[in-house]
Amino acid sequence: MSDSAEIKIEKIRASTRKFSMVCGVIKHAISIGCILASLKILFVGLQPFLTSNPEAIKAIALIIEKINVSNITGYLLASATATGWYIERKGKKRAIRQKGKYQKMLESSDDYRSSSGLTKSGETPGGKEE
Amino acid sequence: MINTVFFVINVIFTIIIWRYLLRKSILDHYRDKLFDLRDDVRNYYIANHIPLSDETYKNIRDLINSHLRFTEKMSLVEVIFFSKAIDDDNELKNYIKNNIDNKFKTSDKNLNSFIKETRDKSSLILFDYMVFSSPLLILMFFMIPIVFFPIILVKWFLSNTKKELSLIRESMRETFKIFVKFIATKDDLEELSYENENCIA
Repeated sequence: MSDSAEIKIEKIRASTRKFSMVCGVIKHAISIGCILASLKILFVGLQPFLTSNPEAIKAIALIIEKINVSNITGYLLASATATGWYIERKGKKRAIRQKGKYQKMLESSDDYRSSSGLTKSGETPGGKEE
Repeated sequence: MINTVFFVINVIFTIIIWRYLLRKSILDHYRDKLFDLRDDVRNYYIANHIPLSDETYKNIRDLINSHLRFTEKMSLVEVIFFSKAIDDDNELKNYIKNNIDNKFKTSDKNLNSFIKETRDKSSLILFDYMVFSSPLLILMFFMIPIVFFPIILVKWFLSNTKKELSLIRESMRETFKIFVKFIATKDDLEELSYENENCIA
C-alpha cells in the first residue's frame, strides 16, 4: 500500500500545484484587469479638467478645489499611521534578530534543534530582508 | 465624475495598505504564535524531563517548522482542493492519518494529549491565518455576529443577563471551527505542510 499510496499522494500534490497555478493566473488576470480599469477611470475622470482648461495650472487648481479638508486630513492620518507602522516594524524586526541570536545560544546544547528555515528577522527566504 | 476618481484613488491606497502593511503584520502575528507554540513544546519536554532527542519532539518541532515555512504560501483554495481530492479515497485518507499519527505515537498518556493539543493548536493557527489573510473571508467572518446579533439581543432582553453577550464570541468561534472541519482535516493540512519539510535547513 505504501508505495502506491505515496504515488497517489504525489499525484494529488501535483494536481493541487497545477490547480493553484491556474488560480494564480486567473487572480493575476483579474488584478491586471482591475488596474487597467482603475487607470481608465482616472484618465477619463481627469480628462474634462485637462481639456476644458488650456492652462495646466488652472486644471490642477480645479482638482485641488475638489479635495476638501476632511480628505486631506484622512490622507495625512493614513500617511502618519503608515509611517508609524514602518518605524515600529523596523524596531520589531531588530528585536526578532536579537532574540533569535540569544535563543540560538540557549538552544545550542539541545539534542535536537531544527530550524524554521526563515531568515534571521523571521521573513520568508528570498524576500527583501527588513 | 471627480468623486469616482477619488473613490478609485482611495481603493488603490486601500489595496496598497492591505498588501504591503496589514498583510505583513497578519503574517508576522500568526508566525509569532507558531514560534510561541514551538517554545512551549520545548519547555514542556524540559519541564517533564523528556529528552529532546525523543522522536516525538523531533517530529512535533519539524511539523511546527514546516507550518512556519508554509504559512505565507498557504492558500485556502489549495487546501480545499487537496483535502477534497483525498476525501474521495478512504484508503488513502486512512493511510495519511496512520502515517502522521505514527510520527507522534507515544505510550506516555500525558505527552500524548499534549501532542494532540499542540497539533490542534498549530493547525488552527494556520486556518486562522488563511481566513484573516483573505479580505473576502474576513468580511464573511465578521458577518457572523451581524447575523447572530439580533437573535442574541432578543435573548439578552428576555433573560436579562450579560452572559448571553458572550455567545457572540462563542458563536463566531464555533462557526469558524465548523468551517474549518468542513474545508479540511488536520491530517490533510499536515500532509500538505510536510511537503516543505525538505526545504527546512
